[in-house]
Amino acid sequence: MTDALLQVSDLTITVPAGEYGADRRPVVSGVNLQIGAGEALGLVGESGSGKSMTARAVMRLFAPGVQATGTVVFDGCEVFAMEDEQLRLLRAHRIAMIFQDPRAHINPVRTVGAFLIEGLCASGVSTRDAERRVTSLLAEVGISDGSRRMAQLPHELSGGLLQRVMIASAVAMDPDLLLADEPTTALDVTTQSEVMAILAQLRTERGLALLFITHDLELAAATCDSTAVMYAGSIVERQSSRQLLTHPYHPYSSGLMVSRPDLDAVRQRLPVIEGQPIAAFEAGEGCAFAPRCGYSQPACLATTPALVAVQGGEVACHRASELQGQLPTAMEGGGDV
Amino acid sequence: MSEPLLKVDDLRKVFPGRRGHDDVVAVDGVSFELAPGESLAIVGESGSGKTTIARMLVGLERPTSGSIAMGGAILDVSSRRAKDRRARARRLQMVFQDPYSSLDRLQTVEQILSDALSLDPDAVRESRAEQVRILLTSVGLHERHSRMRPGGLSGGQRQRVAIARALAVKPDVVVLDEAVAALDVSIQAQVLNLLKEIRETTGTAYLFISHDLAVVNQVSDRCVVMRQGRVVEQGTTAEVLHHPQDSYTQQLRDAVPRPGWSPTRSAEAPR
Repeated sequence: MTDALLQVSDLTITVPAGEYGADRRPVVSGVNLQIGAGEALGLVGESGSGKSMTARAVMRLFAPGVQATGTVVFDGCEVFAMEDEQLRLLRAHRIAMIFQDPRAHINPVRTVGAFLIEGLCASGVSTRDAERRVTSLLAEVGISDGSRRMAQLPHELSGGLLQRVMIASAVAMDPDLLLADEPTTALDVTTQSEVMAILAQLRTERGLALLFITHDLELAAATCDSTAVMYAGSIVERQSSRQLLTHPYHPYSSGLMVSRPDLDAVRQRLPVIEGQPIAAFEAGEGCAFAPRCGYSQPACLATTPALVAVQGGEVACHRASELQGQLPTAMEGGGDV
Repeated sequence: MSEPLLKVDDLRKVFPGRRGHDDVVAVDGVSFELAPGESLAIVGESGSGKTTIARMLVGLERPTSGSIAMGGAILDVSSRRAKDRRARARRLQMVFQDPYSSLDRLQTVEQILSDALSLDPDAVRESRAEQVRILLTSVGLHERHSRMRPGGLSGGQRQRVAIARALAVKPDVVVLDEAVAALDVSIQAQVLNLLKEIRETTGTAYLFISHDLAVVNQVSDRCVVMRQGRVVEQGTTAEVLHHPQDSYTQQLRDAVPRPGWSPTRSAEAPR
């Protein structure tokens, strides 16, 4: 047993499909990941890769009909086996979550202040103390006129401000782990930079661990200690962010990096990953990425590669050792200038 | 420089404020030109007025003042007359950000493209199916997609249909409003390559509206940087992105994540 803060093992999630939900479709299959106290892990994937479902599983936030197997162990406790009260306390005090669209997660007819103090008041803090604490939290996330903002309604705040409010509310109960599901995707780049800087500061000051979900590999790599890449419901690669950028092991990670346009180089043609991303239940025999992979061989279509340890990380690719050091990276520009 | 294809002069759009609020100046004295076959990007963050400009160009909004001229003639973009609208639609087409809401979900791909093709008065009805096939091939789709409805297509395929629809009348200009922003990274690269290829083969000019500087660098010859309704800087894309003259352009550039980047907090209070 490791002493990680969060240990997800062999997580598989299925959703009902077909008439009356008779069939079940996997959306996450066999995911393992761990986060140590105060550590930040980036989880990168395209639509349908299962990254959001994985994050929700950590808090056991499932829509009706969704089934999960495997284990999620948080600070020594098995989340899937928790009683209701224990789960409520976990969600209230230990793990917090922020989302892509803050507007969908805040009551539009109550003031920002009422939203922010709710959790504190419910745990026995007086309204006046709660307001004082929230005002200083707002200052921490860069909102200096906190008392004015608290009297406002959500629609009076911009998306960037509202995301700061969500972050303040998420850290109000001083959690150990923050799950951030694409928190900056809907924001402008300059606001994204600020929000990421705020998260980095909160991590250092509070020792907060972070699971950062994004479709942007470069953003994850620039802001997290390590980065895991998901494809079709499984993790295909995980290693330290710095090394991922220079030495990707999986052709998919490399493809994601080089297919992004570059701020400095103009390419005649962007190197593309052919085809389109698939969900776990659409994957055929063998490696799920093989049909889109420029390096696939007959063996890739026959058996599913397991996630195995390599130097500095893990990768699920039959050809990882042969391809090591040969996959193009964003650093090299990946093409003609 | 050749005669501009599109000339936008001192364009202004003011939205009346809702009760108790001031008027909103969305676009404030914007001028730029687009040469035939050129790709011009309008870059800016939310609230910069870039989408309002696009909407005025295709007649979805009426400018408060200023003019839009195409091929030397002042285009009466505010005209609601069917004849004027058709004339404009033959020369200027638009691709929207969200391919889920910009296509009619009840129509088949063939109907969507046929409707667009029928704007061309010289088009021959008989060869419609063949024209649809050619259009689909030009955007990397297959003939079998013509019988499908948008609901059966992926996001990337839908955006290809939207591009095919815009190209159907062989317009001089296609306005692309955040056309690749909603696509997955791997699909975005495919569509960017497709757009480049189309411009090289057809000579269609693009007005490419985006918040993404890396995308702008890849697709445009020149760019206009906007902030709060005004142009802060314009020039060739290489100049503007690599040697920004305006501090705001520099700020935008610094905020793009890349290897070795770390996020920073600005001194300004958030708005």
